[in-house]
Amino acid sequence: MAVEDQRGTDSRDNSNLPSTFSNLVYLHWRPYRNSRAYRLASVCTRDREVNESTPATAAPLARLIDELYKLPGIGPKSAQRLAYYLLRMPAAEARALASAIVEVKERVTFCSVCQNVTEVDPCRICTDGQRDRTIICVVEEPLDIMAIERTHAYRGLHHVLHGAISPIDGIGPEDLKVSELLQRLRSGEVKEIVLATNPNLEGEATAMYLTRLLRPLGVLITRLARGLPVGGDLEYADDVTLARALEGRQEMQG
Amino acid sequence: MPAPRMYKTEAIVLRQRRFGEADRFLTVFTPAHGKMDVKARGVRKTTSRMSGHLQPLTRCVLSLARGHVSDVVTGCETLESFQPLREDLERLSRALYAIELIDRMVPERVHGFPTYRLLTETLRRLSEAEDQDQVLRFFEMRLVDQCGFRPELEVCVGCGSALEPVENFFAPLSGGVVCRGCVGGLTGTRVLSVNGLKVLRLLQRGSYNDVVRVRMDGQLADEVERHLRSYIVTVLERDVNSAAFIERLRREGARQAVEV
Repeated sequence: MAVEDQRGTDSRDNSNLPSTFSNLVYLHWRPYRNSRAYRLASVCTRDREVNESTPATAAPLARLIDELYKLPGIGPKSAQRLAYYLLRMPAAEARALASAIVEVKERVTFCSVCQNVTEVDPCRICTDGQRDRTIICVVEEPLDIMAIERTHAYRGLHHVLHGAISPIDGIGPEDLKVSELLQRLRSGEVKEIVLATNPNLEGEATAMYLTRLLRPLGVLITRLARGLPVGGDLEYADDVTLARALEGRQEMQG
Repeated sequence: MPAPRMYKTEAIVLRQRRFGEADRFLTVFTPAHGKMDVKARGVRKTTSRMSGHLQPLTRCVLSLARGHVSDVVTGCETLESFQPLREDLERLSRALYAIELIDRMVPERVHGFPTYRLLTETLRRLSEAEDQDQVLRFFEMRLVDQCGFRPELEVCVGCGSALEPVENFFAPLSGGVVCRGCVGGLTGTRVLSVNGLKVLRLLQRGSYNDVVRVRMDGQLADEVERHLRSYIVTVLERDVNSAAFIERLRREGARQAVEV
């Protein structure tokens, strides 16, 4: 009897607690996105916002706002603005957007050879007969391939690692597509590896690690040059970049 | 007097994470303001004048403006970039380990002049030293000391009697060394050799110059490393991520040596 009583009061207390807590959180404290506290708090605040706006907002619209709010860089107000924009959009355009999102999730996969995002496996770059198959450019993210392709200066193949070594965050070589790269080198067709990881600490660490790993295989290992950016000022260049730019200076042509 | 809106401070960049379109949040360690998060705007663009000065493992002067949540970097200039650390994977992995320890051990916004000096000196030593692991051991012992977790190495933490020069036990959970009589019932203890205890005491009391004069064989170095690591893991109540990378490099280095 006594035990049951206690249980009864407990559950009542618990049901009261979250709503009071969420009010407090919402008024006085906005934690960073992606933090655990944010996710915990946002569960409460989001429910509250939706519930509160229900009389004024139609339920499907509230749901759309809620979904848009989950996107990176979108706050509650941007989510509302976007939702109302979508509402006024011609139906055909809205349907095109919706089907594009669905299609991306259903049809795009990773290329089994270069690990780039693709709709056909192996991807178009890997199957292109015009390309130089003896050279592989190693990048961190699929976006980096787009940047390199935009230059029209590279005609070889690519390999995406999907990240960079970051010991402090516990990301080691085993979390990257390194073994897949080794697999590709096994055929002996490849003569050169271009390390095009980002010129920051993690990218450099990854490049050094790969160099050490690949050197015994006897392929030529090159690294993208570092130097002054187009449109930059010499006086603002840091020592490391400037030193590299001096090291890699080139004879003027013409 | 209210704190000025703009201020300058020396700092070592510990780590950075992406934020927004082209911004970064940096965790920096400063002598007067301790560890703090600052925001650097637009540093992921290639035309940024600051990005090169704000890489992790750089000692620089920061100009900061006070912000709502965190302060914003308005200017910076490199003092020391510890270039040798960036060119050698062995040195780099150890420097990252030191940085991670600072990030995890030091509280936010509490001034830490001695710890700042310790970190600066450690990074310099790691750039030069032959035996980088010894540098790390000295750093670890000093850091736990400065953070208020000095392990007891003189008397047994169980019975309080002075330690005999025989095989004792290191008990991280009890915060120091226990003698043979008190070890029963304790968890997580490991055998501590006579020489191991001597080295630990030297690390705690001696200067860096005293420490480098000691040549340790592989087994002893290994023992000391394991004891200090277990102590740090106990204090932090979590693993040190970058230790796994050091281990991996060691393993692969050994394997390559065998193949050659």
